[in-house]
Amino acid sequence: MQQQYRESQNYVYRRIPPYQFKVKGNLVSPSAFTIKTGELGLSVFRCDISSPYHVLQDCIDERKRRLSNSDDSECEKATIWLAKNPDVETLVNKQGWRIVIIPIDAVLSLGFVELDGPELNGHINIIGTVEQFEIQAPDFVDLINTGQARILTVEECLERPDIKI
Amino acid sequence: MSIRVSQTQHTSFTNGILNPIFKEILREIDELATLEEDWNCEGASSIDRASLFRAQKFVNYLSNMSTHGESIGDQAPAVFPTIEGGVQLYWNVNRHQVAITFDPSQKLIKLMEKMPEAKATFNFITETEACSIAFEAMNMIK
Repeated sequence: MQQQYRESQNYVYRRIPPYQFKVKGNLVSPSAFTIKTGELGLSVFRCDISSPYHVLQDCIDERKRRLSNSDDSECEKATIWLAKNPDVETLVNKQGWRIVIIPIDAVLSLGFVELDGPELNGHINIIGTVEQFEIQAPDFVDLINTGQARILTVEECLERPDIKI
Repeated sequence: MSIRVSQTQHTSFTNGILNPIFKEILREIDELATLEEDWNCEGASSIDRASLFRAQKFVNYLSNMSTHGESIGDQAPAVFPTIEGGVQLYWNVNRHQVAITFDPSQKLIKLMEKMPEAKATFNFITETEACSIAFEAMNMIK
């Protein structure tokens, strides 16, 4: 399956932050599949364009961009964050970030029919409202329960396929 | 500063709590106080102090009930933050999902329950109702 999803535009990666993943029980929080007011949809990355490593690197790059923010307090927050999270290895091994891989078909079966993008880095939004994701979040978790979606291992999160981005 | 306040709360809530399961749940709730805004890289709120306090108080209540004969069972809840700054106690046993959420925007406790092959249901409940549900969830058989 591994090679198959890497090359496939039919799978997406969802980033799972620390505290929304428990090693004990291999549990992901339903809240990891909800969005805040004002967001277009759930942020995911296409597997044929990105890789688990790059999905996590994107998070670091976003903080690096904030270093040039004119707001000093934002700049300081980014500096502190980057000191604690200098690289993807730290994000995964020390902080506990993970990636879940989800087949697009399964997302569509939940009733989400519109996806935007992809951007150059493979980022797309699964378009939906705050309420839709709130209601469907347990269904996303059930995709993991039933084996349709999968939490990637530490090794898989750290793989860096050369062909990506 | 924020951590020091939280540790003070933790100390007060663990007084008299001997059961290691509840102690561990309280420790995990306490840890959420350290989460800063945007902890998920998608704009998540930092955890609301009042929600943390309510969750700690609720676990204390569960602990008291357990000393009065309620069975704790084998399934300790996972403690999760929500992106809106709430605190969630969550069970996922044999695809039966139960979440009790202390949400900053709600006075009541939010209950989510999802059985296999069924749609999730959502309700707002009182602390007493949440207590019964928590003990049921802790006694789910894997």
